[in-house]
Amino acid sequence: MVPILFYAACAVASAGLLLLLMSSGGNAGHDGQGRAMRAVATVLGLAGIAWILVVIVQAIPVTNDSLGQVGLMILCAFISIGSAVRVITHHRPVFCALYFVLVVVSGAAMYVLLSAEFVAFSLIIVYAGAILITYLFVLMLAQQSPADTKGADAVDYDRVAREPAGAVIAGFVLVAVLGGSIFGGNHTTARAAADQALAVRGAWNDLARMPRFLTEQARRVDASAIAVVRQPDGQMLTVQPDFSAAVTVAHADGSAPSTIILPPALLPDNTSRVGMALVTKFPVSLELAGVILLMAMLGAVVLARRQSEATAHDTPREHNS
Amino acid sequence: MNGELSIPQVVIAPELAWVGLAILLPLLSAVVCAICGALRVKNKLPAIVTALALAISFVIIVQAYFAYSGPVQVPIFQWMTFQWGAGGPFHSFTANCSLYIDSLTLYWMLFVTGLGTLITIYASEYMEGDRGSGYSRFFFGISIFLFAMSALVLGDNLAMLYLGWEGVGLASYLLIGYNYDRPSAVAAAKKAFIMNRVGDLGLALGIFMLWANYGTIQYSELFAAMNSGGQSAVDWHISVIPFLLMLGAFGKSAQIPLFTWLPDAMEGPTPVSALIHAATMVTAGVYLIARLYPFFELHPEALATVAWIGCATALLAATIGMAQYDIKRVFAYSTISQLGYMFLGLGVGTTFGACYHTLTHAFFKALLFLTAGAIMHGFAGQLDLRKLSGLRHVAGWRIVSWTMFVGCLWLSAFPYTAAFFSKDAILLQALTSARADFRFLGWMGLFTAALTAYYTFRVWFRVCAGPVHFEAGSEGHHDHDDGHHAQDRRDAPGTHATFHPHAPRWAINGVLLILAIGALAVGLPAYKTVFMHEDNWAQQMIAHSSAYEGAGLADAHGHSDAPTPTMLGMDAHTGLTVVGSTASVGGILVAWFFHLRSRKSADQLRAALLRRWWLGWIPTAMEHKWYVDQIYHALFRLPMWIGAQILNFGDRHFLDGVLVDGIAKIPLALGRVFRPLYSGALQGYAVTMAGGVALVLAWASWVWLRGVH
Amino acid sequence: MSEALSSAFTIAAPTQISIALAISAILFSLGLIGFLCRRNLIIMFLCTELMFQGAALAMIAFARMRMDVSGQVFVIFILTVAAAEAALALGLVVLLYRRRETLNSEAWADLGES
Repeated sequence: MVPILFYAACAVASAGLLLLLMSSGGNAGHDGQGRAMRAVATVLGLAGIAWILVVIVQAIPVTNDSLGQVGLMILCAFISIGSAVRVITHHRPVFCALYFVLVVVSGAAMYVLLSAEFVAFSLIIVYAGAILITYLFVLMLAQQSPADTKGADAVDYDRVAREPAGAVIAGFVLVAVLGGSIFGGNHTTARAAADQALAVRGAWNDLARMPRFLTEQARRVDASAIAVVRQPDGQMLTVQPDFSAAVTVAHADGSAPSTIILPPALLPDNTSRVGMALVTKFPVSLELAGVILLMAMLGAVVLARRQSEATAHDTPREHNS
Repeated sequence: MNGELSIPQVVIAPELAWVGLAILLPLLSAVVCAICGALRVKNKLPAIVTALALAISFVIIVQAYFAYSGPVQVPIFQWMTFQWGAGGPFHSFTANCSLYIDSLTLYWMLFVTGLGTLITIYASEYMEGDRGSGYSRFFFGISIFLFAMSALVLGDNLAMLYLGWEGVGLASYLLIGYNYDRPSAVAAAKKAFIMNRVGDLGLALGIFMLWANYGTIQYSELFAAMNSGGQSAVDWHISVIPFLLMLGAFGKSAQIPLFTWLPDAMEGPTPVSALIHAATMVTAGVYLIARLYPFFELHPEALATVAWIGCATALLAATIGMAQYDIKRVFAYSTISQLGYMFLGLGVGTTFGACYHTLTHAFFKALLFLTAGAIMHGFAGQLDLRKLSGLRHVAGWRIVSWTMFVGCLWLSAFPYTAAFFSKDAILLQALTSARADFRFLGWMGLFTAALTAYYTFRVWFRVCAGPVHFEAGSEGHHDHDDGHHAQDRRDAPGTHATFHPHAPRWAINGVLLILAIGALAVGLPAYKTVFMHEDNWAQQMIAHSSAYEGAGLADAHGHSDAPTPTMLGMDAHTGLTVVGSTASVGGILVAWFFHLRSRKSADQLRAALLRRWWLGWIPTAMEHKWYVDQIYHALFRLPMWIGAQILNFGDRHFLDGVLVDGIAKIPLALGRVFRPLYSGALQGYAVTMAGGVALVLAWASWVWLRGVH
Repeated sequence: MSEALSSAFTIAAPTQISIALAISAILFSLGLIGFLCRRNLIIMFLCTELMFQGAALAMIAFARMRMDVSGQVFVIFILTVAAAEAALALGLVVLLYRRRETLNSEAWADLGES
């Protein structure tokens, strides 16, 4: 990656965003000048993002991705970034929330492309389904009356961006630094292969934590196996260079344990692995997450009670005064 | 100095531990009084408990007196015992709770507990107006006082003495400040406490020096060291010991230069004045010197200093007492004056005279104070001798008048009263001394005796004799007095027509009578000497204690060796009797003339004195107590006040202003610089945070990239 | 590469991962910018969700890169925290709205130091 080009692309995109934020201020949005500004800003922003992607893709030395998947990825990138920009620039909060749904959905698509199917769907269910609905409810609860909007499409504080220049500069610095640190290193084929080897070993080793599941997989290769036993070196399995794994199994007929080879296809799919990781590697975190949710629920109840009490107390006081 | 003394060796006698109850009982009664105070008990329980405890203490001391056969040390329990290095002297420190009982101890304890009991009974009636409010507090103070005084006298080491010494100071402070809502009482309490601190510093340093030089603070070992001539190597840090101890005694016994607290201490209730500030506590200084008498030989001029100070105090206080109009103040100055006699006696070498005078003085001065208290009690706080007259003709006041007459006779050392003999013993020793300055002090003492007779009977002739006339006091003026005087107070300011004095009842009258009889009785030992020429009881009591041995030592170099010293051409004893009687009777006659026969002439004399510029200063100065308070104010309080102001200024403006506040202003200024960042706008904080994160990331990635390439 | 490997393991997919990482960085920065620019309290919280999205996408990308499901597990935890945050923060927002009848964050600037 050429850092200067990356920074330049970021600068272009930032400039576009800045223009967009500034054009939305005041009543500029309704006249022709504002529309022209927004057009220029959109073009600048899209160009900047495209340029960033090009710079990044060029920096990858070797690629064996399928073209279709990369294309889908780029499509998702544009959708999610565009929606995100609308989230932070739209005047009407409800639309912001709806655009956010779009961000979440395109994000879920990218998760699928990155073979994280389970998380992708839970994202849609939890985020788009639950959290965003909460947001929409609250937005409706806290809606400003038309009198507050003074004839414009939204209240002042939703229309006028606060310190857009400073914010965009901070964002630019952040992206530049993050991108610099993520893509600034060496990306070589050897390194990618090493990464993959490590990953497969990791997957097998995850499996080795669950002997019963390993035995099940072993029976698919050798139906007479009743248990996977430890090898002489104390390991449950040995990962071969071709990513298959050798395990020692005991047999139902009492004959001597024998070594069989499990092919990589027998590795569990992604969802199973997430589930296994949750219960084997992160059980405490899982419990803690449950506690956090419980506490949040209690907190919400307390807040709701306080609100109703405050209302009950406030109303007569207002009458008196 | 020949180092050969023979102070009797002590015997360890654990079987006498019951004498320790004399210390314990007042403490228990103090606890009971404190509980009564907390429970707001309204009956006389605190007084009854205290009187009972003190009476039992007295009985115990009497028992101990009859069981006494020689000096004993009675271990009670181990209090402080430290040992380091090899042990032995200078490598150990022992101060146990144990008793040292010799005849001096018993002599002192007998009148301390006896008078304590009597005065408590008196106070039970005197203080009854305060029942439910300060009654328990008062008797708590009395109990604590008796506890501390017993510890002071009975303790076998200087640590216990010091404990008691501070304890009686505390009790004195608490009881002078009994009416803590009256600013003058609070000021007097503080004054007494602070002036005693000066003396106590001397005492503490003296105890330290004793330990540093003898390696022990136990009497038995100290006396043993003195017996074996341990003091022979006279060094400045040994010879300074008597002067340090003396300072403590002067503070507690109100001698020059630390005497001004005692007149002010009359702010306390009268029983307190009688018990603490006349009969017992102020004699602690006499006890200290008598107990440690051998150590006052460590410097040749130490006892001479005591004598000079004592005589000067006696004279000064007597002159002030002549010009006071407040009865209690007259008696307070007479107390200082009589204490001066005791110190004179100690200084010229007659511990017997000093201790005997202590005993007689304890009785007649307690008596006088209690009569003054009875008058105050009955006349709504009236104590001005110009506003009271002819009390002996008022119904219900005869006992008070005549017991006061007895007290006055004794105080003026009327011939063949107890005080006459005790004062005689002191003056005889002084006048027959080989030292010319001691003889001079003796003559000064005689002159003071005449003054004493004058001012004593000035009070009596004014208050108890003459035409009947009295005015009630203003309630707030002095002491207590509530409750049963409500009727009188409504008629205030006590005109003669409407005011009905509140005559004392049985407790006060009874105690006054007992004390009058006691004052007569304490003269009995002296008659034995005078008429039978034998050593009397008091002499024997003093003779077998550490005090007498020292006196013998003083004789060795102070007393003239002439077999029959003469005075005015007569045998010294006869001569002194004649001169002393003349002084006493003369003083009384002068008082009679000016204050009974022709009261106008007293005022005329005063006016005549004031008219002459070269004489006018005498009555003025006497009425203003020789301006000692003012001089002390200018010498000590004013410089200290100025110094305090300077320090206060420095503290406020330099330490506080520059250092503390100045340093505090640095973060304040920094805060002012950074405060705009905390605008309250949420996004302001977020910008700062994002900027910080970006900076850290930039730095980290720069470092990382530089490492990679 | 062995053909026996499932699709999840056959493709290292560096391009997709890089694009995902770039998007995650951009999403995070957009969230930040939105947080700084918008004055509506609810939208500000929405922007923090946007930042969550950026972080979660980075987790997924790294999980894909290292073939380690821990990243995905962490995303699940992020979902948890986001849900808890939405419940509490939005409750607080409603509380604040009841007091001042506005969602403007600057209405609360008097809580500041100056």
